[in-house]
Amino acid sequence: MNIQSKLAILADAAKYDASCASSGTVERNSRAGKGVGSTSGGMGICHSYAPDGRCISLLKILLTNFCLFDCAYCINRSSSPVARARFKPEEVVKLTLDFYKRNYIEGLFLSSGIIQSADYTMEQLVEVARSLREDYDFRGYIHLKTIPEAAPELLALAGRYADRLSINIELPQDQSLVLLAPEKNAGTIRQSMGVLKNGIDEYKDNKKSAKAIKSLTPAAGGSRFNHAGPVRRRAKVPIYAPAGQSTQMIVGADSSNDKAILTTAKGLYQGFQMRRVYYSAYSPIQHASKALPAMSPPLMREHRLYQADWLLRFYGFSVQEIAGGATRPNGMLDLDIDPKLAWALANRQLFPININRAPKEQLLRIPGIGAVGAQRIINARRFKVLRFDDLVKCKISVKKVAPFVETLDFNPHLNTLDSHNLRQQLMVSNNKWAPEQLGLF
Amino acid sequence: MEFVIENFTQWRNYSRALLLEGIAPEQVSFTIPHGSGDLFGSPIDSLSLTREIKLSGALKKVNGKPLGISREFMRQAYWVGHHSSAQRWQLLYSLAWRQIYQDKKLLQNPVDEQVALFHRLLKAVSRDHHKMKAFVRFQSIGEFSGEGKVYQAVEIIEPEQLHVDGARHKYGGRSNQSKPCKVMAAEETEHFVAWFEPDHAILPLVAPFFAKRFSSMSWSILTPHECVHWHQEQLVFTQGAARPPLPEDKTEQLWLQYYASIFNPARVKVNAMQSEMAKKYWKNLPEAQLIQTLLQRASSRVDVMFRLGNADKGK
Ligand code: SF4
Repeated sequence: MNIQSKLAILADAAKYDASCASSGTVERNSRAGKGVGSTSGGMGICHSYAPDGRCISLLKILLTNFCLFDCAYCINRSSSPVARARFKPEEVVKLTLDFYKRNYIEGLFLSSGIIQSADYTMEQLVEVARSLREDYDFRGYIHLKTIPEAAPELLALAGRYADRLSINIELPQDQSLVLLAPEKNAGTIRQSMGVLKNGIDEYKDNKKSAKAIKSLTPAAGGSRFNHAGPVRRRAKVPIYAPAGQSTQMIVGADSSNDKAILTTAKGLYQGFQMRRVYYSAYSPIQHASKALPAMSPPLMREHRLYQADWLLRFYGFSVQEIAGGATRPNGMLDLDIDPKLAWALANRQLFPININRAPKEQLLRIPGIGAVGAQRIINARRFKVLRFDDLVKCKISVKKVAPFVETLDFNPHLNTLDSHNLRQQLMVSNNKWAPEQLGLF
Repeated sequence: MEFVIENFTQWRNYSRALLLEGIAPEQVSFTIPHGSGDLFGSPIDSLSLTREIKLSGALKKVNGKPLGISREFMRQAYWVGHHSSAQRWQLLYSLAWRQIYQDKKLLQNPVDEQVALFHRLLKAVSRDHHKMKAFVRFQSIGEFSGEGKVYQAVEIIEPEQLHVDGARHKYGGRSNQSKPCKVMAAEETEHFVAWFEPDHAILPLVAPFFAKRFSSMSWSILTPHECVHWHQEQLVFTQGAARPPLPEDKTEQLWLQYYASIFNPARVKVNAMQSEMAKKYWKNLPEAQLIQTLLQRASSRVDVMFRLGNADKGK
């Protein structure tokens, strides 16, 4: 089979994985190196976008789609009649370098079906990363999907070459895993996540203490030599997955509700310091297992989960506030409106919030105001007491925020906040909420 | 007083003198060279990795007198200086003057009209910069023996002919004509060429990124305003070029295959794609030629999935 045919099969098999991020690693470049590659230390670059709206940042492929396991939701499971292929490690290395040199990608995201044994498969994945780093001095991004059943030594080796490691949690609840992926084990998955976490923590600690030692050295920051002779440079800290670990959860393949999904996610963020939890709407696959629904992927649900995830991590919301209690008694996010708006509508008594007086945490709770907008408001109010049209200058959508805010010259009509139709009205995109006398539009 | 500004250094030098004298923005007028289209007027203000531009301090202190301009503003002004807007130099002077004589913290005020405009221009330039880093596509034009070969419109010249300083005299200078671009290629070295059309004349801003990322390669990026060449040591800028016909690069076929295969037809989201990869970029992105076909075939592919999915369930 030629490379192009293999690529067709093994990229197709990888397209269900939501992750494509190439962010959060250390800064590197290829000056004074033999190979190519650089990373920014912050966000990676999205080099293209597929018509499914997803960013293409990494060459995302499987080493092979042969698999011993039979996970019901997976196109590669042993009982699926799909075409199979297998790359040699050196073929993946070449493909990565050839793509990278043409500026198509930021690096490689390599995953694999399980062949022979978990250890053997993991060894093959690690070999690709090793060769890229050691044989070709590749300094771009590498993300390795880790086989949870593989030996801890192999996980340690993977972290030496990869920027990011990930193990998929797969399903939101352990019982679902028992039903749909009988060969997998939730305990093993968490255990391996723990191994990765320890490696990552240790790397971070080493980096910190190396920095501390450096700042104690008398000639630090200045010349490497002083009258006492050459100052020893700090020992190099062995790298371990500097971009941390992430995981993915399939949404809609089992019956878990959004509250259960977000609770699991929260646990993963807290327990393993995940950099990201990806939500992947279950996509229909050819020859799907009987156990699964043949339906369009629940894309809107996936979108709302990402929004909710954001609120959990950066806006100080709890799972109960956005997916439970009075806001969502059935534990499912509202598909028609975003979770922050849904929360605000269920808690109308807390509004309007005064733009000129509210602390940042409170500004962040206003639907339509994000982190950037909140900061702009805080900056602007150092200069003057804000009027309604100053919000426009802060680039805030007044249409969205009008029912929830109070400024020097504006107070939403009491009956606006009480109106039972508010939800309906906010769903319809119109200018109703802009006070006409201000002539904003 | 009217000043015709060709590049950032020039603006900085004039501004320094005027600011020291306390000349108010209303009394001066900064314009761009007459008759030069906004874009093509940008001259070659070359910089290399080895000569990092020193912006801070330049306006900060003159003859021991502190001018109170932040380093941050100068860094951002350097970027805004690459915008194609004809008003950019006037705006920068105005903001500099107001920071010194009116309000040191001016830039933190998001509701000031000029500050808002400044940030709009800055954003446009940094977006252009970001998209250029993402969407430049190199093509291998193979190896050359270095004997002044011409590949179709791409004329290959030897590195010795193109030393940094000499190069600017020889090939540099402003020109509205789009001539074939001379590409420097070393002996026995694979050379990569990219054609790109940024909205603003940002090549000097973005070239160091490519030099750091692809330091061990030899490459050229050609744009209508100017071109840059890297031969593993220095960035060399030459005049703008016309789009060159490039030879076929076999790897591109694999890239198209990848693009087609990684697309999931069950999740079509055209708007999401287009908001990040606007149509204006498509003509220079090889993979964009597939979009139409992929979309047309998507729904029938999904039907097959459902059918096969359901058919199995009957068994
Ligand atoms: S082990 Fe991985 S590749 Fe194999 S069937 Fe399960 S999910 Fe698919």
